[in-house]
Amino acid sequence: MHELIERSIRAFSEYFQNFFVYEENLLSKIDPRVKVVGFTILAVLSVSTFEIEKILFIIISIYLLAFLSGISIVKLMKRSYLFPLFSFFIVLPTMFFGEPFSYVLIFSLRIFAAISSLQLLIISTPFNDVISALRALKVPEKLLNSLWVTYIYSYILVRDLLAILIARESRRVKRSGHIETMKRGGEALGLFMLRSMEKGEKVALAMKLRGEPIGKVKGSKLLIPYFLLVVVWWTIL
Amino acid sequence: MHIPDGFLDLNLAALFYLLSFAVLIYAFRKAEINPATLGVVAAAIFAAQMLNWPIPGGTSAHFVGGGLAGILLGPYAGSIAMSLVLIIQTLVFGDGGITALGANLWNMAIVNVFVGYYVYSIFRNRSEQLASFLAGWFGITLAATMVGVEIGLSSAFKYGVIEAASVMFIWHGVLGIIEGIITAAVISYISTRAEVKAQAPSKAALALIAVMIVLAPLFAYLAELVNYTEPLEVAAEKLGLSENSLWSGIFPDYTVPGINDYFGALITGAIGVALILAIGVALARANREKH
Repeated sequence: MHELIERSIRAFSEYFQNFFVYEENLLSKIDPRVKVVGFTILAVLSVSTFEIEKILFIIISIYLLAFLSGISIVKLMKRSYLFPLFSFFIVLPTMFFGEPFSYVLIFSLRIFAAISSLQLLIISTPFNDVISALRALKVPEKLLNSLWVTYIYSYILVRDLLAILIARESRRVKRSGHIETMKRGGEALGLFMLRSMEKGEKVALAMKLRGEPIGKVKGSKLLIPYFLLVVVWWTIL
Repeated sequence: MHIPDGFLDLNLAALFYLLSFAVLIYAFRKAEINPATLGVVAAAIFAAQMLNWPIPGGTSAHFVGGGLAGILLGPYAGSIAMSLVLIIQTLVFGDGGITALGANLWNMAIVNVFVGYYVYSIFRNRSEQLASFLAGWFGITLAATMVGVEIGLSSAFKYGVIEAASVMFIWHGVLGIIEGIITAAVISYISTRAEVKAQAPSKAALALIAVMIVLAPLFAYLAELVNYTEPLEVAAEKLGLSENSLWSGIFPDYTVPGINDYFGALITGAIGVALILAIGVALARANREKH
């Protein structure tokens, strides 16, 4: 089971780096409602066309915005290139069935544009601001509360799960194969799920007593003209 | 299994947003569970998904947990817990696209959870272990096949539906064995210590959602067939009929005369939405005053 623990710890640490990706910059001071709606529009525009000039225009707009806001373009690219590259190799064999290379390239670029748009939102907006924006956009309160609890408890529960796995591994005396690992790991997961459900009930009671504070919406509409300009230009192109 | 942006045509993406929201709004109303408890359980599923299970050949696989969520929490709360995980994965970790979120919710939070629950309910009287193994296997395999159908039908992705769905079915059919074994181990552990008795949903609602899941590929096919045109226009074209308008309207074909077509479509779309919203608000106010 040590292999399961080692691989999982690696996956956890890679995944949770995302919790520290947010940085203070010009874009982070903008109203999150504008950013959520604006970047969603840019993602939609990216995937609604196969015209290269429109896709390049969106990519340039996103990276220009990142540059003007003081966000590292290299960092944004590093967070956005992997899946488009993977998609490139997925669709590359379509060339053997008569698709031109331009299709392969444009398909990957539109994914790159959409992912860059989402990544710029993630880099410039902490999740509590996203929740505030969704609240202002009238997303039901019950859903937002659940979403917020999921977010803040994800790290704690990962720690709980690791503690259970390590405790069990430290008591193991014989080698185990893959099937054995899945069975023992599954049992550990069973214990973890039971504890999590109990914890969930305790948290629900505690929150009822304390109330649930969630951040407030900041008021700034600087970005609206920029998004409008991009949309209008995209349509004219 | 998360579909990123760019793989699905917008009409397909919109269709799956619609289907997912219809089921999830109903599930949210019916689920008898506190939002905070649900949030913590969703965080537990999120943590469980990150485990990297070593498999023969030196590689590893992830647990998805849709079937497990369906068995432990029931299909309604299970589907909402999985939705919370998927929304967090999209908005915090960039896993899965924002335009493809509806399809991802449909595949992993609805098909995976409901199919897992159905299969478990059918077989649980024979053997709880077998039922939970099959729930894990069927849930993940059918959800993955649904991904194949969706991207295969999408005109942006040039592989056909048969190729895409077959690849996803075969690959996840094999990986599904791991999902099944882990689901069975978890349920087997829990059932000896606590009663696995999730909220039993109404049969009519379950049947309706089952029909929606079965028909989803057909809906997707029709959405792709219709694409951005009207069904009547398609029918007219097939019959060789031509349009002969008596009055072309204020905004002919959703355009503003003298303005670029795209821009015109945006303006007319905004006017249309504003008009519908205004009518909706007026009707709601009238209804409120009446009561």
